[in-house]
Amino acid sequence: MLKKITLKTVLITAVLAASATAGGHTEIEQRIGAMKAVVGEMRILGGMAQGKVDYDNLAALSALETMRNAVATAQPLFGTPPVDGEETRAMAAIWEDGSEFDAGITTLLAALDTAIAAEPADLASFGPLFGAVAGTCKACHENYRAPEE
Amino acid sequence: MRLRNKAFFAALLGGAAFWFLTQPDNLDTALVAGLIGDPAKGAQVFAIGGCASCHYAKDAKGEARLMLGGGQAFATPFGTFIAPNISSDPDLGIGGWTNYEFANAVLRGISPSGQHYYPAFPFGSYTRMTVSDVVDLKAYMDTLPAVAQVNIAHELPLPFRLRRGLGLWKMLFLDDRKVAETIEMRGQYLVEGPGHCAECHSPRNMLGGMDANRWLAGAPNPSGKGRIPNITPHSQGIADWSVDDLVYYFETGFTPEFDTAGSTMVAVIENLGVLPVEDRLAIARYLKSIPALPDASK
Repeated sequence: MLKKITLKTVLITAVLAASATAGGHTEIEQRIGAMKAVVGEMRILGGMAQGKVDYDNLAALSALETMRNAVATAQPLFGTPPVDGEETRAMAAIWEDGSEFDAGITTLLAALDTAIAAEPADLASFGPLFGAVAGTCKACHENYRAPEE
Repeated sequence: MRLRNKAFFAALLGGAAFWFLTQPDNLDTALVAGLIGDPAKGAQVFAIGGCASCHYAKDAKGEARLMLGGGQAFATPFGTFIAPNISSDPDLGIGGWTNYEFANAVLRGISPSGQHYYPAFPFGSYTRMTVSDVVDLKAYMDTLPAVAQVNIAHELPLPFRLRRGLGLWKMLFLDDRKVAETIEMRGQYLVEGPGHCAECHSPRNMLGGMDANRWLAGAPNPSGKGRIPNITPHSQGIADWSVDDLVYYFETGFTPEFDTAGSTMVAVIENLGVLPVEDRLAIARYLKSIPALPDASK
């Protein structure tokens, strides 16, 4: 029995370790992967906020939690500036402005924590919580992300 | 000797022709006479015109975005332009200007002292605005704070430092007629006039004139990296966007894929959010009705 549990733990740890690098090998590829995961959850949440999809409180909560994990994964991956030639839309201002960009991510995490803790039961309570999360995206993308090529 | 006389005469004639062609073409004073601005209406014109976005201090937030002291730098292929002070300060800003002087600046790109402005100031679009909107705008801007700020000069290479030549630019490119004829009159007015969307979303020719044949088909980002997107109803533009998608984007900054607006579009979205919903709808309908064009190559 004990052996089984240990095996299970080892397996889960291995899967987690693998998924942590699933976005790619370099730090930039990993953080692009994490940010893409954020957008994926935003699509689920945004569809509900827009009324395109019926509100589902369990699905919303799960999307918020997944998004929180993805944001928390991305945050430390913005540690070093890209070297020339690396494909990224992250602008140099991220590293020139010191901790301002990092504070932006922390604001997003706080908005997500608030939304998760509230466990919004219906669309009316979800709307403003989603708005607070969504509002933080533009704030960073204005100064820190270059337009697409 | 005779040859020298001829050359002198030719130069004189050329100079006279240049002087004649580059004269400021002032607005008719009768168009402004008797108009009284409505500051409440002007606040809406101010939002769609995006005046603040270029004229507030870099990184200004909240209330500071109504302090129009200028100073932001704009890199272009012609040099770097520094936004001037357009606050209500009577000496350093435009508080002392008459309605006529203001309208002549916005609609014709001419300063109160008769100098041409550079088209970094988007009078190439504003020229399609109504005089009454411009006078309302002035009434609103007079209510904003005076900012006592002096800015550095534009940083331009020599040929572009001479403003007189801009008269030729205006002869070639300044046109107050509508560009694309559509049934969406309000949307067309907002996009082509005060909204000045084409200033960034249309490519420019070598002389910096907007290319009407590639209207809103996207362009290189003048400040370097990336492209300004195609916003015509082409598959490379907004073909997949519904009118509702566009309105949602104007309100929240989210694309149908839930990517977000970035860069200078963030300030535009903030301005669009202030407008009545009918105006956002009108802009969306206009964009869905213009000719679909593939991405502009340059």
